[in-house]
Amino acid sequence: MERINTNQLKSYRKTMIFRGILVWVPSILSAVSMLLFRFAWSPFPQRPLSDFGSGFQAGMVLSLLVCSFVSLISTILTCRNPVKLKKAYVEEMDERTQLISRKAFSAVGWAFFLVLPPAMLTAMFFSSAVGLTLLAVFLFFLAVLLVSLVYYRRRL
Amino acid sequence: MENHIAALRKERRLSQEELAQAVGVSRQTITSLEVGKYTASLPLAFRLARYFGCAIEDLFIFEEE
Repeated sequence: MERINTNQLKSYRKTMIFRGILVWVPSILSAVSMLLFRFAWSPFPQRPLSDFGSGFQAGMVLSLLVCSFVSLISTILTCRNPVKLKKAYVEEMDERTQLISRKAFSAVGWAFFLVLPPAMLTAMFFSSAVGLTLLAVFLFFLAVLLVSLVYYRRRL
Repeated sequence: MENHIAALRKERRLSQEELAQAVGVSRQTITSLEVGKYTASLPLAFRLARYFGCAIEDLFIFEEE
């Protein structure tokens, strides 16, 4: 009979707490960068933003902070409740769930590589900066794909 | 892949949830296995076979194409 032992749950709890903290990293970095580059007291040179840009930036940072907070609360509640923790563990370690995730990520990857090149070429007509940014993103993900392929060919 | 999981489970009067807990997967995985939408990995096939006290060949029907 397959029983989930205490050590597995302890290790999973640690992983969940680590993830709960990790989620805060992009949120805090975004908030800090916004504070550094936006306000007059900052030592960095100021670049004026349009009303839309300013609102968009503040909204993004605020929503990231709210998401991190909700995620942290959810993590704490799950970690404190052994039944919820065990359920979360089974759901995450379940092989069908993992297969679904792998297939979904694979589909995202395919969609990404199909959509990005035409998007990049189209963007070049309107703004070279956007086109070059998309090209850099495309090349970065291509490099990640190639490195992953080499890594997993050696590992598996 | 067809299998006898549902029959063996019903024979033992187990719910899908109980079987799922016993072999360490979710209830949805047991449902998918029973209807043949999902094929179990080798470790899960072994766990199921051990749980029912039979060989893997008795639990899963492998048909070569």
